Amino acid sequence: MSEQLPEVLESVFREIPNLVFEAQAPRRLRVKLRADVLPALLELLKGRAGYLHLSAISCVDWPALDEFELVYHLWSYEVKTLVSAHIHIPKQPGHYVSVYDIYTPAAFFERDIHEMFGVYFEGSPSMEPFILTEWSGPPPMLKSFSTLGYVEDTFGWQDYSPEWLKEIEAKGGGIVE
Amino acid sequence: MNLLNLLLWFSLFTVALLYWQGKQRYAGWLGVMAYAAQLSVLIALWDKMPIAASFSFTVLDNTLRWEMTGFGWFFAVITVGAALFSSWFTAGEWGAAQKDMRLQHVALAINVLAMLIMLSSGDFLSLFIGWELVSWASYLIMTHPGGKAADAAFRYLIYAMGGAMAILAGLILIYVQVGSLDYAAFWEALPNLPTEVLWALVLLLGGGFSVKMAIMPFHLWQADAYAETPGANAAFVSAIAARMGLFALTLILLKPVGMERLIDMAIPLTFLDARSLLLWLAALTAIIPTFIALQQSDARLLLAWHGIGQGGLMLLGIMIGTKMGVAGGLMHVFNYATYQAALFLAVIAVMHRTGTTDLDRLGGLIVRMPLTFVVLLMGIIGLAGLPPMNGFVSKWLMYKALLDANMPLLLVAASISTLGTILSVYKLIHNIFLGQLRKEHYKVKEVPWTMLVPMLVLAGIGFITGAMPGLVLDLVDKAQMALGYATLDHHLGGVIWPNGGINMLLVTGIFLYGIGIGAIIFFLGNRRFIVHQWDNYAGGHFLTSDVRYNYTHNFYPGVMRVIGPWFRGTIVHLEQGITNLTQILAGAFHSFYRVSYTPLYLLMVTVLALAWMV
Amino acid sequence: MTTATTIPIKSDDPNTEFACRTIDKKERSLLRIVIDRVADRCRSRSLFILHYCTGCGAIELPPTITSRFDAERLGIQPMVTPRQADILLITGYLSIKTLKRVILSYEQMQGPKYVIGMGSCTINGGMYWHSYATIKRLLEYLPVDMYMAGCMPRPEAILQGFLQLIDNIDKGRANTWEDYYRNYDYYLGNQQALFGPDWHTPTDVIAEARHYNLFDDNTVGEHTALLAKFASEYVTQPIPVKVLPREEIVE
Repeated sequence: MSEQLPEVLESVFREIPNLVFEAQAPRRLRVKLRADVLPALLELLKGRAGYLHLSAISCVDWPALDEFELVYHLWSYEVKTLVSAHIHIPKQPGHYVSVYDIYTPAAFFERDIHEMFGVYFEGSPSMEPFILTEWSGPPPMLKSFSTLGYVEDTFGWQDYSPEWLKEIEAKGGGIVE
Repeated sequence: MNLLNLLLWFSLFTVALLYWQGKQRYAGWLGVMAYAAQLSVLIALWDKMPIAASFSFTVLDNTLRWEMTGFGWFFAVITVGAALFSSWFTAGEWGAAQKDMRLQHVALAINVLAMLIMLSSGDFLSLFIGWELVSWASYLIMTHPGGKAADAAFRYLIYAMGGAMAILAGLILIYVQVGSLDYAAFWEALPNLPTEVLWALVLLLGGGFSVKMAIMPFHLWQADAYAETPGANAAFVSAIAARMGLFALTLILLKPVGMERLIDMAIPLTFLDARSLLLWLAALTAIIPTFIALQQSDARLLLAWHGIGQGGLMLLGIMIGTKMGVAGGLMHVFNYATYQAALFLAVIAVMHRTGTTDLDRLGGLIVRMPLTFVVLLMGIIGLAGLPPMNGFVSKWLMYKALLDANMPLLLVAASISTLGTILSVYKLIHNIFLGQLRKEHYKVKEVPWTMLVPMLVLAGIGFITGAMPGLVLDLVDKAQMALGYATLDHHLGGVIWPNGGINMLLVTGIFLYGIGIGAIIFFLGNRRFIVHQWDNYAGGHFLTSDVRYNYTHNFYPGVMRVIGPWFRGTIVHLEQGITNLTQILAGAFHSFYRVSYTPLYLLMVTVLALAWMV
Repeated sequence: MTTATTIPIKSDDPNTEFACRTIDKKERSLLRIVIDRVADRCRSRSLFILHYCTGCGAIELPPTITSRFDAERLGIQPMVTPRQADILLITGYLSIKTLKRVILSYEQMQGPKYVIGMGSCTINGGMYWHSYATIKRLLEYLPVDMYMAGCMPRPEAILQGFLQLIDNIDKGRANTWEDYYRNYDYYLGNQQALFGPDWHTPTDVIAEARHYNLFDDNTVGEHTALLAKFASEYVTQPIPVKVLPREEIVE
């Protein structure tokens, strides 16, 4: 354990098996752990170290690993250190437990991730479409989803060449595809 | 048989007829005909007043006489007219939908009879008898559906009984001082009565009659009682019943001779005299109930509270004491009766179709009930005192009289009351007819013609007498002459007055001219395209029937925040305190007698108080 | 100072892809011509904008409208509701979700109405060409009177565009709004392709087309037939199911 690590965090991390952490910056800790112990870590952080603020949950699609990486960003106003907890879950079936019972704002992030990546969070209050209410295709933030292909299939291009554009094109400029 | 006897006999006959035939479908039409007959007798009385009834009684060497003067006649015309229209309203589909129509008919007829007896009283004793009859008849008309109405009516009864006791005490005081219960004797003795006695009279009679008028601080009972009165009878009671107090008070104390005494009676340590006291009470009554009306979310309660406020305005006009002020106050009685009856009938028509008068649960009915909307619109224009309806003329007279009498502060008070009126009548029409039509009202239809025609006729009278106030001023002249005031010079279109009269024909002409230009543009321009109510801009939102895009709840929150704390419940707390005190006293009495008979106690207390006083 | 970056979509060139049939001007009586001329002149001098700034352009518009460039000297000023507005100014990209609201607002405007697509995104999606969530060509969904290309166009360009539009209105050329009624089926079809077959707005466009005397062969068709199931909720007049092709009418 490094000397910079606050004692309270050290005591929390000691309780979690197979936890690896590295200090990315003076007040940023990157924590890697097994997916099944993440709720325990959040509980401990919230209960012991005053980590009341779940800033965000982010999701990364790793097509090569066939895994989703979920990152939980937590902030404590007492310890004043950002803890980013990284877990990996398999893409199939792409289910994970909701942390709504620990942090209520999680419902918002989980719904968003479900919409954009298709990860299903068990116990989250709502998995309804959130922003993409008109969307019926696959989750659009997956690496496997080709936005350009979708756009070219769905939308058309209109040609236009006004005079001023011709002048620019004559000078070697113009529209870049 | 003289005409007054005929009138009273007709009225009595109406009661009997409606009691006998009240269950029939055509009972409403019988009522219409009977009231029309009474009205025609009243019209026949036009130039035959004063007229005394041929019968009289003698009680303890006091003669009870009945005599119709122009003043009582003026009120009688309004009374019978209001009854005529109320009865007409109930004659068709509305009456068929009621279970207790006979009781409603009879209650109305009894009220008219009682009021006619009172309005044609010839001395204090017959006045008091008439007064009591009116009180109990009002109780009957208010109470019979039971439930909330009965509670409200019982509250009224308590107030009325307290008022009646005060009046009785006042009359006994008059008898002791004057030695006679004749009007003429009292008026002769009035200039020479000691000031203390007159103060007692002002407080006893003023207080007693104010209860019926609901002048502050006795205003609490009226709105609930009138709003809960069933059906078209509510239109009748709120149009005229409360004016009986005004009649009696004016008749006894507010003749020119009484007004002179009132002005002399200064209140020690203040700059007020008795007249200013009453004036300011009237002004407060015009303001505060109007702003209470602003807070109401029930259409009938809103109108009933306005009734109290307008009553304050009438008293204010009469208390000014100039011929213009008295004419304005009396004219307001007539004008108010026309539009208040129209408004109440329109609200009851809405209730007939939608089942509610809750302003939070209505809206958008203009597309379903356009003619009722027109009636309500004309009614609120009158109530708010805007041209070209008749309410404008009487308010103009009162304002002008206030200016001429150098009472600018009262003018400000009256204007504030008008401001509150305008605000709250807008709430009334907006919440019922404008905005979003609710899903449950999609199938609502316009009310049948039997209900529409009386409303439209009332609104039409309001408009015609607004354009030609001379018609009403002719009636007012009779009342003013009977009171002893000089009459107002007038012509068909308005008033002739040295520093600026008014010609409503001109005003109405300009008004219609403005409307005419709008109408030409409207009808000669492009064809209209009526869109669905959900085809409405809501910042890009799609509207559906379950979304309230037009909020009617909590109207005028800004005004309410400002004015709310000023008068929130002070009088209610006072009343609650008195109620609690009475309950404690009643409990004490009860423990003595083991019998609960409140009127007896009240009478006893009064008699004891009188015995102590005399 | 930037050069003018406006492209009038409607021109007198009959080969323009977007040309639509206009009222045969020769059929009008002299009085009607005079009245129309006066009306067009008046109309072009008093334009209210409904500015739909969900994308960009909320920075460029305030200087255009306020004292620096002062669009009001052209008789153009912002308006808060579509019912009173003449110009629907769409600034920047439109996501599919906001396009619904744009169509709703457009249909609530009273004719004659003009649509200005401001910024490159309304022409071809601009820098959002790769986005799955924004539409690319505004004129598939609404008839556009004028584009102001640029990302974003500066206020000078916007003003020049306004002047061009005023000129078009004055000359009676800016009538693409009629195209929406005449070819409603086409526009509705494009909208349905995005929003699904249940797409409908509360506005009864077909009845309005009749109201404006703009009901035409292509006002109704297979796409408008899908509206029938919402007719009881929204439509004030029954939807005509089938319109005969022109040849059959001639016969």
